[in-house]
Parts: sequence; structure tokens; C-alpha cells
Amino acid sequence: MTELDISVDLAAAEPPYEQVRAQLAGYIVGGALPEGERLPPIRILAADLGLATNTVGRAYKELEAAGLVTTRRRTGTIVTGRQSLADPVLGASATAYARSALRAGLSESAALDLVRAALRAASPG
Amino acid sequence: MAGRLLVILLVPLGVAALVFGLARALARRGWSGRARAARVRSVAGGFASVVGLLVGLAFVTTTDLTPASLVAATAPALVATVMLLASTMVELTWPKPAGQVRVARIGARRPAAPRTLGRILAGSLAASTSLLVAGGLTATDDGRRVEVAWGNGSTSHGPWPGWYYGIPMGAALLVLLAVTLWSVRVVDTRPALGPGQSDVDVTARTLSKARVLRTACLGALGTTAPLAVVMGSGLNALANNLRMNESPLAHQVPLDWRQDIGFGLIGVALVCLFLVLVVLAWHGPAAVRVAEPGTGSATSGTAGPMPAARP
Repeated sequence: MTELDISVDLAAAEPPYEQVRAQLAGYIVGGALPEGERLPPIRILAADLGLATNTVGRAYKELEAAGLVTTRRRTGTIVTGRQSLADPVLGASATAYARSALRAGLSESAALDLVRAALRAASPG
Repeated sequence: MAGRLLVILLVPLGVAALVFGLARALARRGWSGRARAARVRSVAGGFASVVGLLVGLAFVTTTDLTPASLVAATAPALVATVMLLASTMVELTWPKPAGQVRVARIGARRPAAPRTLGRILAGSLAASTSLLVAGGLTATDDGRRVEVAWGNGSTSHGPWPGWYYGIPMGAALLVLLAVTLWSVRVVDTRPALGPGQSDVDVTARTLSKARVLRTACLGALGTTAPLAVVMGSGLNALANNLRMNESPLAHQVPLDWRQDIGFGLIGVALVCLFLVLVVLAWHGPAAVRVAEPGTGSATSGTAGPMPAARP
């Protein structure tokens, strides 16, 4: 497995658990974290990020609720499956947008804010 | 009373300040931020072990607890426990991630367990437990001798560690094991230094774990070796007594199984002493690839980035 990093910006509008969840979900859906891969224990990831264990625990719980990982007492948290992207074009668009945002010097949270605003504007009603 | 309390509070603080001051002065320059803080703690952990050794030795040599033989029997495990507690206190101050943006690497941490030391510790604990149980089951009721009676009520005996010694020694080893497991857990779960310094982190973690296991090994081997010597010489004395008293239960050398087991136990003690030398000579990661802090570039290091502070 290639080495993957998770970053958390404490000043971002998104709460830290959501940042952790979104990045892990991105890695799983994008295939960077394959099925069967073990996630770091909650306690260790929380220590490495300087976050409370509850924060990382909540991120893991939401990933589990989404069916992306499963937690067992003995084996820890394992990636269960990769949710297929609804449309491969969407994945390519997301990658292209991420590159554009980085080129424009946008921070991660600012780039995500733009996406959220676009989603709200596009949603019917 | 208040003055004594003040001294009790101030002395540990003064020692801690001295340990960190020395570590700060001795930690090599050219590092900054969390890498330097980690380096200082790595050196301070070694100093703390030495302080723990001195405190432990001072306690067992000046204590007026009686009987003194029980203090001596449990001393190696107790001193090792104090050393582990002291160095783990330093581990608890390991630098934590700070700042607005924190980055962590996901994926399993590379193994940082010195397996040789782990095996020596497990073997030594198993040997001492077996000897203590065997001693307890075969000793006389007072738990201090091994005795053989025959014929007309005659007896021969030798010194022997029964439950009188076995229970306190077993308890001391159990405490040592518990503190060792806790210390290893503290080292395992302490925050990583960050993605750019993963090599430094692995080396520092390996050295910390080696220090914990080395200290625990010395405590366990220091308990096992004297135990085996006492049991071996006790069996030899018993065998000799039986022959001198012309007991019908006596056997002649070299077919005297009591004496053979006694020599075997002396052999166990010699193996323990050899393992003590192995533990003391264990050198840790000889050559590691060291990522220079801040640059993320890797260079080959032969001396190791962290001073291998030994207990």
C-alpha cells in the first residue's frame, strides 16, 4: 500500500471528525485503501493527530454506518468494500476540480465550501 | 511536617529538572521542533532509568524491612520496576502534535519490537515461575527448606525457596510484568513524529521499547539466576547430607539424581548470567535510514539518530 496521509485543519469550518471521515472515505472509494486493509487503531490515529479518541471514533463509526469499514474486537477496523462511484465521470471531475483548486491556491476547507455551495445551489427546492 | 512535605515535593521536581536539563544539553544539535523534543526525551528516558536504578538500590540497601533475605530476593524485580516507572514517566511527556494543521500517516506502523529481548524476557519469566512453583510444592511447611526423612525419623535438608519466598518473589515478578506491559503500551501508542520523520520515529520507538524490555529482562534474569543458584546448591547440600548420614535414600555420584538436578540448576544460573551479558550488549538498530527533519530527504545513518540510552 502506498503511504497515505490524513490531515486535519483545526481552524476549518468542518469539524475534525468529518475531515477524518471524508478523507478515509475518499481513499476507500477511490481504491487507495483496498478491501481487507486495516485502518490504524482509533487510539493511535487520535494520538498521531492530537485529537480526542472520541473524535476519531465518531469518524470510524460513520464509516461503518456507511458500510465502508467493519470493526471487530480482534482484528480492528477493516475496509470491507469499495462503494462503486455512481458515475466514473464524476470521479474524474472531482479530481480535475481538486487540481484546479490547488492551482488556484485554495485551502482544502475553502475548496470544500465551494462544492457545498454548488451542491446547495443545484439541489431542487 | 510542612518542611518535610516540601522536600518530598521539591526533590522529585529537582531531579526531573536535572534529568531534562542534562538531556537537553547532551542532545545533538541541528534538530528542531518535535524531532528535537523527541530527542531530548529519548536521552532523558535513559537518565531517568539511571535515576530509577539509584533510587531502587538506595531503597533496598537502606531499608530496615525484615527479613532482609526477602528484600534481597525481590530486589532485582523491584529495582527494575522502579527504573521502568521512571523512564515511562518521561515517555508520557513525549511531544504531542500541535498547531492548526496536523498530519498523520495511515497504515500499520513498521514493527519496532526487539524480538530477541522479548524472547529472553518471556523465557526468563517462564523459568522463574516454574522454579518458584517447583520450589513451593517441594519445600517444607515453613517454606524455607527441602527435607528428606527416612527410617527411624532421621532427616536431611538443604536451603530451599518454598512459598515463604515464592509468593513475594512471584508478586514482584507479576508487578514487573504489569509495569513492562504498560510501558510497552505507552511507547506503542505515543504520537508519531509525523510523515516526514517516520524513520526517526521508528528508530526512537525501537530504542524506547528496547530500553523497556532490556530493563525488564535484567529484573527477570536477576531474579531467576539467584533462585536457580539457591535451589541448585540446596539440592547439592541435601544429596551430600544424605550420603554423609548414610541414608538408604542416598545415591552415589554420578547417579545421584538430586545432585544432577542441582548441577543442572547451577547451569540454568550460568545461562541467565550469559543472557544478562547478551541483554547488556544488545545494540539496537545498527544502521538506520534517517530522514532529516524538515526536509523529508533520507540519508544513510550509521550511528543512529537517537543516542541509545541504556538503563
